[in-house]
Amino acid sequence: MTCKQVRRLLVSCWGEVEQLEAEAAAHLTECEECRREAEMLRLTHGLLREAKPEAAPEGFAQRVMAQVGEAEPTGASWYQRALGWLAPPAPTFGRLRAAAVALVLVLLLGGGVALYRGAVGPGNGFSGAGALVVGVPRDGASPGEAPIDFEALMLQHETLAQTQALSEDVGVHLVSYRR
Amino acid sequence: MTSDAGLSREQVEDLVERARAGDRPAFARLVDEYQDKIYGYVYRMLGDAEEAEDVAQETFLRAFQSLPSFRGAASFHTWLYRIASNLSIDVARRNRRQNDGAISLDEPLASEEGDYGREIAYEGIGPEQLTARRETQELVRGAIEDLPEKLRAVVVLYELQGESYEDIAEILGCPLGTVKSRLFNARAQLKDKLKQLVEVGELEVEQ
Ligand SMILES: [Zn+2]
Repeated sequence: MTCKQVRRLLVSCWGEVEQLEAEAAAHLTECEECRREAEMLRLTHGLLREAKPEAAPEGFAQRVMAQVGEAEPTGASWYQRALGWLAPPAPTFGRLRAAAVALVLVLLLGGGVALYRGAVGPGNGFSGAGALVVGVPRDGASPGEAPIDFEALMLQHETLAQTQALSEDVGVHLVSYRR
Repeated sequence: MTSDAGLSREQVEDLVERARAGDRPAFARLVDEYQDKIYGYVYRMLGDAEEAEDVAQETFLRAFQSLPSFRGAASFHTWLYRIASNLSIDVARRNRRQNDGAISLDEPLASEEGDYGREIAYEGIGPEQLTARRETQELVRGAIEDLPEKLRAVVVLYELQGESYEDIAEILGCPLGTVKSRLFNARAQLKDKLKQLVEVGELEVEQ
């Protein structure tokens, strides 16, 4: 067995000679270089095991929660908080929620955010970066019933994933999305 | 073996479900549970307490915000580790690039020794380490920090954090074989670095 082969085995067992097969162990009795390698590996392993992971510093969790207090799941921003506030999760009020969403979108329009109206469907031609299009409420709308008035809200820097999460959050199907 | 030390799997799932719905106290309980794990990992990845605090906080904040995309296919703790890995590997790379750009060492050696000093720095032993004995653990920490990020992540997760090969593969998004070969290389490189330290008399081998 060559030194190279033996050293590969030594790395795998952290230099613990008892774990070596007979042929490799025999090599060690004759090869001082490899014995030194085994010793270095044992030393390295021992030092690693002594290396205790650092515990989180005092007050860490509180500082995290202070930041989390400002945030919402789904990376929500002010408009999502507004939607969440006006349309709290309440499965039995699907239509109400949808109406509330529509209302919020209209309010947002008033706030100077571009709002599109027009025929919305999958693949429909909305332009602009990160157009969010919300559609029918997830629950409450019976099959065949006309979807509530769609609303398309222009939002900068929205990803599809965020938009999907938002639409789930406010309880509507995402009908269309275009960047 | 479960790595979700204090809480049972069911408790974690329940807390995650509640946190996903915006329940902050539930999320706070999860932060309590995992803060040492995540901070310890990030600290070893970055070697700087201030950066570790920032990255560990960012990890939890992003986790909270992304909870809706957590579908429970992975365990919560590997998912957290994955966020922490991505963030800390990015920061570590950025730090390395900045350090690579600056040739100057903290304590430049005399000019006739310049090449010598630079070569040693390249090997991962700073000149200050040649002139002052360091605490052994500091040497080990330094050796870990000198590893390339991907090797560092594997060695810290496996040897220090006690994660399994399978979990590490999931955390780092790479095949099991890659985890094992990185671990092999990391061990060999760590051993080489410590061997250098022994040779320059920085580290004593206890018989
Ligand atoms: Zn040999």
